[in-house]
Amino acid sequence: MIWWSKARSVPAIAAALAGTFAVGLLIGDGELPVPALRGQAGHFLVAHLVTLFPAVYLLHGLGRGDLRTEAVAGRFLRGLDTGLALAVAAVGALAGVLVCAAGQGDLALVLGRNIAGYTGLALLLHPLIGHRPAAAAVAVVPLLCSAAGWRRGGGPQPWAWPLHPGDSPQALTLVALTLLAGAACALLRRRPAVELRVLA
Amino acid sequence: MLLRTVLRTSAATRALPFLVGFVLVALGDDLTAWVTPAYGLSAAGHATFALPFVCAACAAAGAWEAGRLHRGRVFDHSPVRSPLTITAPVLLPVAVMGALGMAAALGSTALAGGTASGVPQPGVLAVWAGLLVANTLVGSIVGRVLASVLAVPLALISSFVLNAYPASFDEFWLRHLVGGGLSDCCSVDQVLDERAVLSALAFSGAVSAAAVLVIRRRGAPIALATGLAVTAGGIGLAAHLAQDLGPTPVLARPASALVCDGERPRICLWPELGGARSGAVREEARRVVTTLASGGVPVPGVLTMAAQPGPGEAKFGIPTTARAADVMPGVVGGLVPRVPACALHGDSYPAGVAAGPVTAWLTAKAAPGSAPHPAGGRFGEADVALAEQVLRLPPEAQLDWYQRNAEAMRRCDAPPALTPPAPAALADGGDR
Amino acid sequence: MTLEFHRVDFQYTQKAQLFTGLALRIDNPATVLLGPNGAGKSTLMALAATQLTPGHGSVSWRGRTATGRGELAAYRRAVAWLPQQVTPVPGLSVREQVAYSGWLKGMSRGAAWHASAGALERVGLAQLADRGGHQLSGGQLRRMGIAGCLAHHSELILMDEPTAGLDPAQRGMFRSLVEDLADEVHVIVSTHQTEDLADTYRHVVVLDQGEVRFQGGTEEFHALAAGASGSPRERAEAAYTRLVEREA
Repeated sequence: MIWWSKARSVPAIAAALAGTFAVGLLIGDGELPVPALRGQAGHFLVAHLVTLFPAVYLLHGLGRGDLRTEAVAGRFLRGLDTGLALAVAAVGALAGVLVCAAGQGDLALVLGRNIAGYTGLALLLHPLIGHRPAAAAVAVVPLLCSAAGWRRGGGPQPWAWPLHPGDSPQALTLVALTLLAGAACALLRRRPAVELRVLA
Repeated sequence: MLLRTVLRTSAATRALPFLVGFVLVALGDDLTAWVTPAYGLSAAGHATFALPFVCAACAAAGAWEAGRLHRGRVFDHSPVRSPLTITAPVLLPVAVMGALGMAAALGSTALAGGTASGVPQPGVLAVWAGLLVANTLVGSIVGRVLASVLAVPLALISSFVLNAYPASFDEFWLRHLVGGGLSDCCSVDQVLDERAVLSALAFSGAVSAAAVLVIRRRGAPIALATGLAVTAGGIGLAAHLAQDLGPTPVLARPASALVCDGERPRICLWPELGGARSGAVREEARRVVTTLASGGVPVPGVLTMAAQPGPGEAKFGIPTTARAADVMPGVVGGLVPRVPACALHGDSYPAGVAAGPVTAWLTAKAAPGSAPHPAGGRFGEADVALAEQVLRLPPEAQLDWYQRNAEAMRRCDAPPALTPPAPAALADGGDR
Repeated sequence: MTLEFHRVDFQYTQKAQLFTGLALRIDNPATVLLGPNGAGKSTLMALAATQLTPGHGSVSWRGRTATGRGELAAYRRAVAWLPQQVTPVPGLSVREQVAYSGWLKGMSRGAAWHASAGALERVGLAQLADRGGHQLSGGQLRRMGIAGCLAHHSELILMDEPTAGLDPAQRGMFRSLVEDLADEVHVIVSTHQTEDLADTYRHVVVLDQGEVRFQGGTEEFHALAAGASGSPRERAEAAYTRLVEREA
């Protein structure tokens, strides 16, 4: 287990999680002036963006092992990896709730929820397209939200969960569904993400 | 490497459809919302709105491509060609992807503006090209240094933030380094201030030069140090060029571009109105001026669309898609004094409240026989009611009311005199 | 103890079918898989290792198929695989990586750690056990991979081009290792080097364009070079060349 955690770079993922939370709490409510005329451009927060880094580090960890050897492991490695991702999401979400309860307000909830949401996306995309494209695809999500995630009236689009306020049940439901779908995909998809075309 | 190999294997080829789709679908409404119809510079300027997104895509694709070279251990095979010669063809499709992304944005704004003429603006295009290349090169360095899985998201996000964030600073020169003011350019009576173009080119050129140096020398310490120095120099030069610029880098468009015709009034229009529309506008404007003059309202000899009318000229504020109905408000608007500089600087401007009643009165004078209807943004119900009181006065008294209030509107220290004198008072005064 | 490919179809995405109804039984403990580049040797090994899944058909070892959750784990514990490229995991020492290979195959942490020392000793890497994997040369990495295969007590070891990048002395050591191993477990080695056929392996399978061109004992294989003279290596090369050229 210790070698697996070294291979997955679990300490780096934990550091990314802690760092993201710290940065998020310090400057997370800073507004990024996304050039959007529609809706409220000024409400695209640093917290909407930085929260994807734990998911990126998770994907980094999932891709840095000896993928060929791990693909034929006798142990249920996919279960361990899924557990790690769910742990990242859970720790992020729990930290959000605790910090919110300690009086940090909505921002902490947004941080926790978005960490969990991006982790769910990473979990979903990793078995389908591989760790490198998955990291790029997850990083595109906040940009997509910033550009097209605002309704003309000012509020976020229903699908743009990273932009929702911390207490939005809609966003929470979407994040939970993403995590669920990601976990299912990661656990059930047997075909490895990296297909060794070079072997042909 | 064969071009077809580069194109087949490049991340840019795969990302291009997504980028173009993103620009057209996700950014489409924002891109086209405020384009000045028929003005090519406006189409080009507003297309710059997509630049932070496209730059981010270039940086990410550059990081991906450099990571691919790194994983392929291309530079460990003792290549005869320099690292730059090897890297450049791989990054070329990325830059082309960026160019096509911006072309999609430009096509979108040009269509919205209903013009194809004058759309490719060399200055704006140069800024785009400079920043796309700079982002691609810097992204490729990130991809060389970090593992792809980290490098691509980092390049994507940091490039986006660095290109979008400067617009939020009160130090305006910062935004001009990354073309941040171009997306507000330009109404038809404005042109781009070339200092903004030069500033962005100085910055992107320096960053690109530094990146090229670092790539060529494979990150040798001396190259890194020189690269930092070149970047710092570029930022200094760019800041110097942009130091006096406001948030929007525009200048008044030269009046020499106006097409003027006729006498008393001489009507000067921007060529973007086109021949047929200009003829119709002139005809309607002369009719309105004649009506106003017959009602005793003094009208300057020249109506001009220029941003800053000269002495003896009145601003003729109509859109480039003007119809007959736009002409009368345009002429009337030119007869309402413009807000003085003191008010723009924040001084108290008590006569500002006179704009509505004066505009309502002028509108009534321009269309005698029909009561003015409240017009959104120009005058409301109360203004119409006041104007109707004024209209009941004798012509000389009406003109006196107009001139006194117009004079007050040109200054910050004069209160308006909106309440029309009672008919009895006029009669008394007349008796004396 | 037989490795069996039963009517296996396999195709890489957007490529022509590589295997169509491949049927192959290998029961000799020292088998070499020969074939030109692109013949499908590595794909066959990856299928046997369950790194790839057949589109149709099945692969079985000792009658145990590599399908179904419970059976797959048991199959994988029984089969070790040395892929063509051995990737060092950043942050792990050579010994840790070898132990990790054993742990991945289901060994306990302690057992894997203990077994890793012996495995490294066997491939001559004991002195480098504490180094980082990324500090090894290409040949050393390959030996680390072999040690990973040895660390857990598998029944079948699949080695894909194990001697690529090894110097002559290391190749000699590898030959001795395979000879020793063949007394304990089944070893299938894919290679295009015919120099050590006679001494090391007892069974030859020649694969070309996804089809088995030859399967038999090494003497049988050498007999294909009828008329050719010279060392065993030259006769093996002649047999291989005739076989592949004739079929081509």
